[in-house]
Amino acid sequence: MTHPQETPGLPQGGPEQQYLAYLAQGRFMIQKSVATGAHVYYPRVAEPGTGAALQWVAASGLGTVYATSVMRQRAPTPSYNVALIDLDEGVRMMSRVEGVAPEAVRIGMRVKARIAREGETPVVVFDPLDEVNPAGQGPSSETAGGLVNTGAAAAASPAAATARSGGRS
Amino acid sequence: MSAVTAGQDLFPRGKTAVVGAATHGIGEMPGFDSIDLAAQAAIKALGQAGLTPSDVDGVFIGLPQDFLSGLSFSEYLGIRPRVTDNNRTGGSAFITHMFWAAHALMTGQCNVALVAYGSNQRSGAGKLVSSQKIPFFEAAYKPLMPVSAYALAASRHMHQYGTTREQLAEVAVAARGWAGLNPEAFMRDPITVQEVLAARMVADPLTVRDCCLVTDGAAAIVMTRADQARDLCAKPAYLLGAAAATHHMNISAMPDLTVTAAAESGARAFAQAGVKPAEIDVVELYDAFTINTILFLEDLGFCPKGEGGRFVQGGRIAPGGALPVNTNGGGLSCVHPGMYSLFCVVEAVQQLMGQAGARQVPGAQLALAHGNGGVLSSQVTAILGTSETL
Repeated sequence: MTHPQETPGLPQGGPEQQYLAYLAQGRFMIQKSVATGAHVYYPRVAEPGTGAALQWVAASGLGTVYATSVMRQRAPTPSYNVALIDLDEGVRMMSRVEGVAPEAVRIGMRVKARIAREGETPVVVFDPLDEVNPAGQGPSSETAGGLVNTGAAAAASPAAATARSGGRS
Repeated sequence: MSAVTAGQDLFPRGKTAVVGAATHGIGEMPGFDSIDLAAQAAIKALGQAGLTPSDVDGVFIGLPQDFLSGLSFSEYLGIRPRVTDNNRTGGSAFITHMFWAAHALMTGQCNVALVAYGSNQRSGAGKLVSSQKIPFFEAAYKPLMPVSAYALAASRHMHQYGTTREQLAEVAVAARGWAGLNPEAFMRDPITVQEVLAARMVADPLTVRDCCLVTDGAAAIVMTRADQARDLCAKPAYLLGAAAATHHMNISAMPDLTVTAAAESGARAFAQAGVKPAEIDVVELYDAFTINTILFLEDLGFCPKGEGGRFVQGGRIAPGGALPVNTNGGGLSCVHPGMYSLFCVVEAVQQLMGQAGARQVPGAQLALAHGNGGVLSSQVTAILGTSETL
């Protein structure tokens, strides 16, 4: 069992307040179970399934687009992307991919987190990792072939695998 | 794994039955409150069985914005219930109510169970009413709930299985075809795949025609023990199985966006009923969005996982097709007053009672009603049958 070093300067308050306080410091932090080592997102008081205690760890910020949509707005309001991102740590989060047109976001696209600000509120968004090839069709893409994963859908999804295995890593 | 041993499933197959099932106010009912519409549907359903509100001693309801509606609805109708259930699992709630009503009836906790719902959200609010707050970890990204969640699921299904927008559109076209046979349905004019595709995009890949209606409407059913049912109703619809499952609340926490918990609720309901998907004569699925019908056909075992898009092609689930699905026109074309599952049940019961008019599936003996709640979150399956299936 690993015990990653406790992060100094733990913000006060409940999980949501701590998460947002870290973001305000410019740090994208997620949680990790002290019992199983599995990562947890969204912020909570205990690991789902086991009830084990959690500690904050820095997220790598690297992830892959799992699902994507475009929220169509009436002109002149611009439409925007909403996506589910599988972080390399094995957790999934809702976010959006910026830096490309919202409809150009592709499932399988490799992305990297960035902390943006909306008014006073810090929010984690993602940019395409491969800026040379922002459509996500490059060799880093999980699913360049289109029709893949049919037999191993659940296994191919890190978050699903985590949920079913109890998150042992 | 668990320190607790699994118990045997003793669901009382065929021991309870629906003896009355009615809708009221489908479409627009300006000037009426949700509770007015639900009460009228309840009185109609009770009347079919020769009963009145004072005969009811079990009340199961969840009105859109009344969190104590088990109490207020009982007061409104002059019922003094021994059992009330206000369970809220989203739009699926009313099939969970049937599940608990069956148990309450069989243990003598009540004798006449009323399950009801009503909403005036078209003429009242003009848009889908949801009291569910989007949590901070999703709200920051301004998803349009619930459509964003289903759009994400559709995007994943298309990516993984090659499902097309045309196949999604076929679901809407089939629903509209059935609605054309239902005088109560809100939208009855035929529609084409091309019209669905060309409609206003709401959240890619779903256009407004991939999305359910927002209407007013109410529904109610009355359940009793089977031995009573035969005295109250010429053709009771017996509850053969009912089961629920849930794996998440928020779409970002759904383990696999192409597999719903219907795979679990359906398998248990089929086992309780002792029947197989191929034996079901009429299928009523909660079609809040076109992707729902495809996911549920797969998860309930009507076709293999990933084949739902191809399964619905060529009018297979439309009038005249091999499998009658959503024969009232569904949430897509008949009625969707915020929570829809009780309308699935009413349609299933009317088909089994032989009362479905021009859309009647000849000789229907086995019907499935499947409810969905939240964003593919709560899944509840009920299987009903005529006396021949007991």
